[in-house]
Amino acid sequence: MKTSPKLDHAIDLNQPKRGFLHELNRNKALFLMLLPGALILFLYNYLPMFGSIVAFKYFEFHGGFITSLIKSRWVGLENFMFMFKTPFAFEMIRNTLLYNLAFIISCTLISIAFAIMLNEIYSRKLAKLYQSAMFLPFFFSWVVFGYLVYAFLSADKGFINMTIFKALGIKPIAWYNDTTYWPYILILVNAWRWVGNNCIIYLASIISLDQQLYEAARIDGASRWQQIINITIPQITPVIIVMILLFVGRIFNTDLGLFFMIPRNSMLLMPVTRTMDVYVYNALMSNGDIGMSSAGAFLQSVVGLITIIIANLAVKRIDPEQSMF
Amino acid sequence: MSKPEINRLNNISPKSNKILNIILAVYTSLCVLPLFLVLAVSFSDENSLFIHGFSFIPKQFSTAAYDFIFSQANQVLVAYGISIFITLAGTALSVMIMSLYAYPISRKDFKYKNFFTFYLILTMLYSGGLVATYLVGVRVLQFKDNILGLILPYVMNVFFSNYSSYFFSNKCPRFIDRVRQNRRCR
Repeated sequence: MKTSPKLDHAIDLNQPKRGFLHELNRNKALFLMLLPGALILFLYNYLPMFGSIVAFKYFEFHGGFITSLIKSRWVGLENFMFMFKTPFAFEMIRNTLLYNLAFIISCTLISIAFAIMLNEIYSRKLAKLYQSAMFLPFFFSWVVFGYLVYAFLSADKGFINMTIFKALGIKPIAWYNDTTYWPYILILVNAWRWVGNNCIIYLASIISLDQQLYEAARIDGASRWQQIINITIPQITPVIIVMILLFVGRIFNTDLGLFFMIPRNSMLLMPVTRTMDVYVYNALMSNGDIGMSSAGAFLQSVVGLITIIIANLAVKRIDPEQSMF
Repeated sequence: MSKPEINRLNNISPKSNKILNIILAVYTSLCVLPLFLVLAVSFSDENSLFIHGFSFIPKQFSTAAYDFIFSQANQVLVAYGISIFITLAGTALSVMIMSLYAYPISRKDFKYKNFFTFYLILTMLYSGGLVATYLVGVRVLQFKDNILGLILPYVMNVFFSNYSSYFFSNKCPRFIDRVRQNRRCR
C-alpha cells in the first residue's frame, strides 16, 4: 500500500489543487503573519524602485510626487548623457571602484590577520581585552569620526602638526588642502572602523573549528604556521567568500559618511573624495538637480545588481554550496 | 576559557606570542587613544587650544565646554530621548515583524514560500537608490519631521529575516510541526 512519504502533504492528497484564493483561505494565519513585513517592504523598497524611473524623466513638481512623476516629460537617456558629460564622470567612477577595491582587500586581510593572531596568543583574557578595544571604533558615528580625524589632522591645532611634527622638526602640512595623502587616510580610517567588527566574525568561525584537525596535524609534525596555512584559512574560506560577496554587491556604492564627514566636505579634496554617493548627494542637496542625481543613483543600483549576480555566479561555479541564491 | 592540556604542546613559541601581543597592543591603543585625546581636549581651555593645539594633557584645565552643554540640558535630553526611543521601539517592532515574516517562508509546505522569499531577496539585489527613496519618503509617505521616518524604513532587514527563517527551518525542533499537523491547526 502506498502512503504519502511526507506527512506535510497528507492533507493535500484529499483535495484537488486549487488557486490562490483557496490557499489564502486555508493558510489565513500565515498570510496574516507575512502582511506587515510585506507592506513595509512594498512601501520602503518597492515604491522607490518604481520611483527610479525619475532618472528617465525631466522631473518637475506638479503637486504630489506620483502625479508629477506621471506628468513629467520622458527624456530617455538625456540625464545620463548629461551626467557623463560633466568633467567629474570619469573621476567619480574611478574613485568609487578603486576605493571599494582597496577597502575589500585591506579590510579582509587585516581582519583575518588579527583574528588569527587573537586566536594564537596564550592569554584568553588579553585576547578578550584586545577584541573589545578593537570593536570600540565601530560604535562611533561618522560624525564622531570626522571630529577624531580633525583633532589629529587640523592644520593649526591638530595633534600631528602641533605635537608630533613639532617635536621631530618637520614642517606642518595643511592636511585638508592637500590631495596627496587622502586616499591613504580614507583607507586607514575605513579599516579602523571596520576591522574590529569583521575580526569578530572571522574569530567566531575560527574558534568553532574542529580542534581534532589541529591535533592530527600536530601528530603529523606540522608547525603552528603550517597549521594556520593548511587548516585555519581553508576552513574559514566560506565565511571569507560570503563576506566578500556582500561587499562586492555594493561596489558602486560608498559610505556617504566616510567620504563626506571625514574630509569635512572640503572642495579642494574633491578630486580624491568625489565618489558616486558624494556626487548624487551634492547634486540633490546643493543644486537640487533631481534628474542628474537620480541618473547617478539609478546607475548605482543597476551596476550593483549586475555585480552581485556575476559574483554569485562565479561563486556558484567554484563552490555551489557557498552561493547565496 | 582554558585550553585543554593537549593543546598546550600545540601552541606558538613564547617568542612569537610576545611579538603578536605587541602588535595587538599597538593596534588596540590606536583604537583607544584617540578617545583619550578627545577627552583631554574636552577639558582644555579654548584659548590654550589655539596656542598649543590639541594634546593629550590639557595645558589649562577648564570645564567650560561641559558647562555649555549642561546649560542646554533640555536639548541634549530630548536628543537622547529620541535616540533611545528609536532604538527600543525600532528593535521591538523589527524583531516582531521580521520573525513574523520569517516563519511562513521557512515552512516547506507553504505554497507561496518561494514567491515571498524572492520578494524579500529582491529588495537586497536592487534598490531604488538615494534619490527615489528620499523623494518617495518625503513626498509620498510624508515622513519629513516625523519620528516614524526614522523607524519604519529600517524595520525589515533582509539578512536578519533570512537568518531567522534559516533558524526556523533548521534549528527548530521538527516535532512542533508534527504536533501542529496532528491537531490540524494551520
